[in-house]
Amino acid sequence: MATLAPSPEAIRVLVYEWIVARGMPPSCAQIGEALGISTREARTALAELRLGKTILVHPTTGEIWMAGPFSAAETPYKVSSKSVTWFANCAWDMLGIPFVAEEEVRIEAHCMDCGEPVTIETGPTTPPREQGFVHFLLPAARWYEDIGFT
Amino acid sequence: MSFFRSEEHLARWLEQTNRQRGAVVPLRQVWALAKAWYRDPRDRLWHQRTRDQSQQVLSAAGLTGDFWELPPA
Repeated sequence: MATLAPSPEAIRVLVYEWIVARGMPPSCAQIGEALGISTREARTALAELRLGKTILVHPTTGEIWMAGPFSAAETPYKVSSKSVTWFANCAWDMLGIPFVAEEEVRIEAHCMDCGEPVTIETGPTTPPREQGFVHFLLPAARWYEDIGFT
Repeated sequence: MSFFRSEEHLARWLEQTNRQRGAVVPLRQVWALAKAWYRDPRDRLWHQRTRDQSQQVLSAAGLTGDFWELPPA
């Protein structure tokens, strides 16, 4: 008997609930298990999500590569709450995580030039007090040409 | 989008990497942008913004001009 494909909404909610609780996105196998479908069906469902650049899958593995603002791999932008550590895709995303996770966070980042570590305390209602800048290298018109580079 | 401690550090990095300067936004302003940009995707009522809605979010955060013009939908 054919299995009904899970809705994009069900996948999106599962993926983000998983990340917020655990720090990293679920694998296709874990998505399949959670939604009662096979790993292959989960991989297909992920690939067919129409969420713009919100959830991107790795071109060769089919696993979640990034689910904005979260990265599936460790990055120089480490964001921690009292109980969970996440990694952001970039310096903009590191400031987006507290709004998605709805948590006060401690961000550990580094200056792109000198490598000096910086710790930033912030949250959904607490703007950062630390000094510093985010450099947007590409104009907005080119952000989605190569999202990994951006 | 990368973090820099100061404009001086950014200028040095641009020179060393032979890159063009893009736009430089203070950390607190990026926080304000993030506040408007990111909504919780766990919310079942979450929906993807249109291109024009995203452009409005950028403008409301004070990011206007050619550099901040999103590609056509």
